[in-house]
Amino acid sequence: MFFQQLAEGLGAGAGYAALALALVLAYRFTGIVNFAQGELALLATYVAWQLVDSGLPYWAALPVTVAVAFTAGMLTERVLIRRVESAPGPISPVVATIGLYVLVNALAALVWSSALRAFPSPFPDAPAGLAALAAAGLAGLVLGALALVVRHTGLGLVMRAVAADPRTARLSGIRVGQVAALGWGAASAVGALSGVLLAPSLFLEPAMMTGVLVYAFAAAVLGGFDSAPGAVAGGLIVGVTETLCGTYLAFVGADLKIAVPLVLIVAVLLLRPRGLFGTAPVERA
Amino acid sequence: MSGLRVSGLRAEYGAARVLHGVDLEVGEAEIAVLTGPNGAGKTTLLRALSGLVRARGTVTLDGVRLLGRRPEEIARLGVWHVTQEGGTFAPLTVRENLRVGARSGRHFAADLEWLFGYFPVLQAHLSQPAGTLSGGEQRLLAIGRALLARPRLLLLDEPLRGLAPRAEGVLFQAIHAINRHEGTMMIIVEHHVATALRIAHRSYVVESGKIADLRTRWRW
Amino acid sequence: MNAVAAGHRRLPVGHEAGDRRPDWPWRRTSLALVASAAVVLPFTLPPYRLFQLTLVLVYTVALLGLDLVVGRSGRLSLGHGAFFGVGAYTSAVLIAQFGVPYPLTMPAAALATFGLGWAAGRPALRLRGLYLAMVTFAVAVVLPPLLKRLAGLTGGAMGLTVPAPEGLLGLDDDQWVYFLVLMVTAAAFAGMRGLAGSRPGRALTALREHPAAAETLGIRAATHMTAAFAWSAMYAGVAGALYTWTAGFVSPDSFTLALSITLLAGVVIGGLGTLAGPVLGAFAVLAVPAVAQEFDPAAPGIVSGLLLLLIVYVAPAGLAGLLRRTLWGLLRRRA
Repeated sequence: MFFQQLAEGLGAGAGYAALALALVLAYRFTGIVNFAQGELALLATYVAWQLVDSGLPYWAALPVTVAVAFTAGMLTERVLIRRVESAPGPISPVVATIGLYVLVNALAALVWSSALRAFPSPFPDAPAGLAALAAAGLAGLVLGALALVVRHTGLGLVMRAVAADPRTARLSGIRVGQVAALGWGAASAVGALSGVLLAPSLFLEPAMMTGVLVYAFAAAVLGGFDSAPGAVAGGLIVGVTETLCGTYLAFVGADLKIAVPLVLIVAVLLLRPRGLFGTAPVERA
Repeated sequence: MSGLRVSGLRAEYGAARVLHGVDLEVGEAEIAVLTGPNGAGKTTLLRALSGLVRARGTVTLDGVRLLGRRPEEIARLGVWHVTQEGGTFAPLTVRENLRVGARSGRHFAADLEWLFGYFPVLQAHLSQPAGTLSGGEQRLLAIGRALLARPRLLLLDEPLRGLAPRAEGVLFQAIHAINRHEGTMMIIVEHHVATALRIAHRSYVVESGKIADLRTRWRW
Repeated sequence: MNAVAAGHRRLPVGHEAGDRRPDWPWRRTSLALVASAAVVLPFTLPPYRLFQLTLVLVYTVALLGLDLVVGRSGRLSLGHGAFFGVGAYTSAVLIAQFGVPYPLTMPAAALATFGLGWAAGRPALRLRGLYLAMVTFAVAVVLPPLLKRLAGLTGGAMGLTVPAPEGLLGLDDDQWVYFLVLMVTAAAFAGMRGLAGSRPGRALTALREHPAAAETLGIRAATHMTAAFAWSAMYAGVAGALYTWTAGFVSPDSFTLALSITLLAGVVIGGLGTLAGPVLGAFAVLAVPAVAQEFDPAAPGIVSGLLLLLIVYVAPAGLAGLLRRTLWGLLRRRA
């Protein structure tokens, strides 16, 4: 029973970790918390559902989905964020992401209706606990590959340079705008993974990612908001904590689990604002 | 048409005009030193040249117009600006710092050897994050990063600020040697007037956003 | 430009947002016009329209409060729908479960939300950054399930029905409620005007414009911001109590994240840092979705999202700024 819960917590945590990592990536490239991150993932998940529903095998639909998400993220940066970034008042980019949140959510409801849809699991034949662990493993694999690219390629080096200091990067001849768009694309692709991993257990519907975004906030805050490994660790911790609280604390139960991330966020802000791995508290806006 | 020509350069921050029509010139392989009181507009002048501050007027490098281009494009045209406050990526290692913006990867090992000829100190810290270096070492790293790009024109904003006297001497000798061996043009903003003028081919005194005085001297 | 590098980013307000006019012309005349319209309208409007008008005033109070955070302090709150909900429920529970006379429930709602605002703002506002937006977002998401869980008190998912305040002075019930709400709205405006000129108000402005400089002058950012946020939450809570009196019914699904986003949209659309903004914003966020709803259930979201983006990119001074600009344009042309 306990190990079953632990496995499910890790499975859910992998999903939260992916979205948290997406938030952290977008934040590091532009200094903006992207409230529409979850909805971009939602859009990608619906695309995946549509593809699978029309007969494409799961493992073929997945790369297409990730590509769609990547493009959507890049477009968001180029079309929306870019324009407001230079404006005099930049919590406006965040307000713009909130506008995008509302818009994408409504569009999803318009196109795919508000009905609950069953989403295929990547491992349909495995028992629940094992499937959750396998999902976590899959997420780990993808995130590991991403880390390798960022750590050991020229492109990754340029991305880290931009994240560290955009102005110096600019003075070094790096086209910062393009790199930031690339960063948002990568963020959105990672975020899509979160939607695809969580949809089998949450069921696909327009409101699906709203709760997940809260968990991802908690995960990112716990990790320190500017640390990618922190976001991943934070996601797993949040997933396990939430699942165990829901099972073993009678007052919390299934329907109040969503309060767990709120309590976690407040606790982290009070006790250790820089999170587990962060360098400094979020500074902007 | 070779070299840098600036004429009628104007810039403002909001309503406050900082540069009122600056004219200056840096010839092939020359070092120009800018001196003048605080707030005269020296730093703004460098920022305007590297595209960090929007400005009007004419600026050409080897006949190519620079004004109106973005900082990254200007850098790609061979103008490298080492600002007072940075020029390094703190979380990246020294090696990674040097790798960013350097010429193509194939020459990197040879380029590093070449750079260590001028700045031997960096060699010992290659795998250390730049943020953990001392202030003087970070300055060397910032200039070293710029040199690896083999710039046509190097803009140095108070390179000696906050350095220990010995480090000052080392850095200035290196700058001088680079100019002589590589022919890199430089504009140096410096308060240590006496030190700076020893290596200058031209010097300009900037006062309230204008060039107040120009001195040229022959190459040694 | 160093200001941006130092990291305090905020929405443009007033002059910075392209608002080049010194002031609204004929201040007194327009104020008198609005006041007389507000007194005459309840006797001419049909009941349903009057209900809508009352709701506009209720939202205005909430938006006034939210503007204190977004417009005057330069921070984002996505939790004002939750404070509104807590205010509404405080009033409804006291009236329906404990038989407290309705006028007493407003101070209770104010107190509860002031405390809640303080508790939510304190940890987030000690730090710079978007923590406030994230914490309040989480609060807004958590409130509905929490209300459902406390079914013994709140009536659970079914909600609570509250008897309407009885009309006095020969007025109908809904007219009476309208005038009650109108009085509170007027008081809310007066309070906000007083704040803008007071020492804490000026401290907020200083903190928004130059956080570092203000700190060195001894203005304690965290304390002022937290106080402002608590006041702001209190405004939302008072508006919630007024909502209960007006609507006579509360349920958890009335106070979801969507309400919080609607309020944020209202304050941005109306125009930040102005006194007219909250009224215009309240009109906009109540009227636009109602009209859009006619076409498709998803249409309000699409329209609101687009409107929000449009304001951010095209008219950052909001409706208040647009209106003022148009009016001055007309005046100038005639001159």
